[in-house]
Amino acid sequence: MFRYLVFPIAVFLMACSSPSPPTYLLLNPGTEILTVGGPVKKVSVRLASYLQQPQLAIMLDNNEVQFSRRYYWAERLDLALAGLIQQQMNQVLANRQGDWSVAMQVYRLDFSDDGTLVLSGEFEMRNRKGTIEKGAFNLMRDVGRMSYPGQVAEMRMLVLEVAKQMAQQAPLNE
Amino acid sequence: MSEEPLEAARVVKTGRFSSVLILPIVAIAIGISMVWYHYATLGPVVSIHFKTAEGVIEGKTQVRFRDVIIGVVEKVALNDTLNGVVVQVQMEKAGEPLLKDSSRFWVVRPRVGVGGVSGLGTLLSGAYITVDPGSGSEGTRSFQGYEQQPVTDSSTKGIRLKLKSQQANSLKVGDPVLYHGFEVGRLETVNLDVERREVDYQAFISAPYDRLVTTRTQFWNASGVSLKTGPDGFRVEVGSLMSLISGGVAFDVPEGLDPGEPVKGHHQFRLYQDSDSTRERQYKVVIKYLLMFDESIRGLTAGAPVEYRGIRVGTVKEVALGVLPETYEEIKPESRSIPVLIDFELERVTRGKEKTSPETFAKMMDQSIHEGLRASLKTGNLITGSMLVDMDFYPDTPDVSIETIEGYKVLPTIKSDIVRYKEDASAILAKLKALPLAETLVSIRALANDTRGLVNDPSMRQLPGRLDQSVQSLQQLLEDYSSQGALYPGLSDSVRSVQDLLWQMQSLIRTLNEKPNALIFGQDR
Repeated sequence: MFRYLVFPIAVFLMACSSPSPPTYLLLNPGTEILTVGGPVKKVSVRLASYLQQPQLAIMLDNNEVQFSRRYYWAERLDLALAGLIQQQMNQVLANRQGDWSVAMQVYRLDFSDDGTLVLSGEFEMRNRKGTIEKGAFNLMRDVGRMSYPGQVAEMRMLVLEVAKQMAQQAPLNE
Repeated sequence: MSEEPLEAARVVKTGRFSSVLILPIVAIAIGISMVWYHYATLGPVVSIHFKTAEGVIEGKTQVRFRDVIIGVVEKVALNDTLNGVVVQVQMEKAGEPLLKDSSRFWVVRPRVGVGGVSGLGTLLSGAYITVDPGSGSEGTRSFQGYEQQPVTDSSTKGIRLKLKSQQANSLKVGDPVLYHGFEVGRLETVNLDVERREVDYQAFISAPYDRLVTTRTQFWNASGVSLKTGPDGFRVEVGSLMSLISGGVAFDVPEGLDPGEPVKGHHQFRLYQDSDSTRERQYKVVIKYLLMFDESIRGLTAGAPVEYRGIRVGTVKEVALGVLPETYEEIKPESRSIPVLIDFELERVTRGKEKTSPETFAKMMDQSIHEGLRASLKTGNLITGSMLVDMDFYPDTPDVSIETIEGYKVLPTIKSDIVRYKEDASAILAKLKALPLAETLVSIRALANDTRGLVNDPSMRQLPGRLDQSVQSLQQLLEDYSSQGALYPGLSDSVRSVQDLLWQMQSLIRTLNEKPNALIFGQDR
């Protein structure tokens, strides 16, 4: 009789054995509130389809993407990017007046297993009258082999660099 | 007292001539000398024929030349035919050289006319006869007197020209002859040539302006104001002030033409009605075509332009059934078309280029007709209703054989735009007429009655109020869901939660896609 229960019990025990819990990462830890207010009132970010999910996308060779089973974004990536960029642009443009909105399209935001970070896409700055600036960005940074939390911190710096460049391209006279 | 005998008388013989006779002899001599002087200073007696003897008095009216008395009217009598008077004038010897073949006599009287006032001095002194000495041999004793002063003196240098016109053109003797508005001569005579039914004018052009008159010169009537209406609209032509008041003749060489050679006296010219007529006459090489219109040609007159795509190429010559002989109906009995004769003026078409011969042009026209060249009537002026003939290519029209009627080639025609529009409008009206309007009106009336009943229904009357309440409710609902509304934050949070859930679900779906039993066994490490 007992020998018939061995297999179900083994399955049950295997099912109950939990793997190590996933790690949730924040792109924008929010430890620094740099500015309050500013000319950029709204930033909307539209991500590429493969980025619209919580798992970190890791770029392998041969255009292969792997989704991490351990590292997850702790918040929606589009909202995190929007908040980070708005803060950075308002800090750069702290002495400017305006009512601007920024629309971003992110094509790639990759972590690679060999330590290369890639951030590329397009942006468009608008005021109430229409478009005031349009442009594209494509930044790469070789950070070497490090942990994914470390790479997220570097990616954060890359996003801030993009936001700074966008702010510097804003026209002096609207 | 003695009586002394009387002494016998002593006869003393004296001379025959008595001194007493000296006085009468002297008197007689003086008389004779006076008579001799009188007859010695007398000139010939001349006869001058006038239409009337107004102001001429026997023994009183004088004949003057440059205000010097050279004769006195001796007798005034009616002529044999009673249609004039003969004035006999005793001329003085000094005036005899003035009696030449072409000498002209006229009576100076007070005159008032549009050209001015003259002869005022004769109001007190009375009329007198004056003379313009002509040329030729002396010895003439009978003259035809003039009623008015001749326009030009015989001593004035210049040339006399003959102008011929079909109409008198309201011109009269003394009217000016103008060159670019400047008076260079006058009309001397106006006569009607009964045989040729023409009016002959004699114009005198003073030197040195006579050199302006050449063989290519054209004269036209420049009298008054000319108002013309035509396909080009209204046009007003006004001459000089003098010609405006009293009329006049103008002349010039048409633009672009060689002036030609200077003319001699009594050269004959045609006097045109106006300056336009002179331009039309430049085109001498013409080819006539006949147009047969199957529509009203009201507004189309002779002289109307013939155009090809807006460029004038000819002139309507004649618009009448009279163009054709009476036998036309025999030629084409089924047709009631109206013939219009047009001139293609080749100089217009080939101006400035090598001249195209009429034969070549006719061949080009034949080919063009086969390729679809057609004539049609067009409105030239909407105000006056003047029409013109327009030509263009209509490739869709069927080819036709080129007819010849009474020696004229027939240029095919198509109906004018107006006629085509009228036909289209008639077709539309016919379709409208075929519509069951009466039944439709009955249905509309019934519908109106139903609608009236519906509107008068009490529940229907309450409908606007209910609609208003519904709209207010809807408006309140929308305000609640607007960004400032009370429901918006909750709604926004709900949407965001759904988005977050979908965000998280992406990972789960991928995991289940990779490992369907992951819910039980978990993911691989």
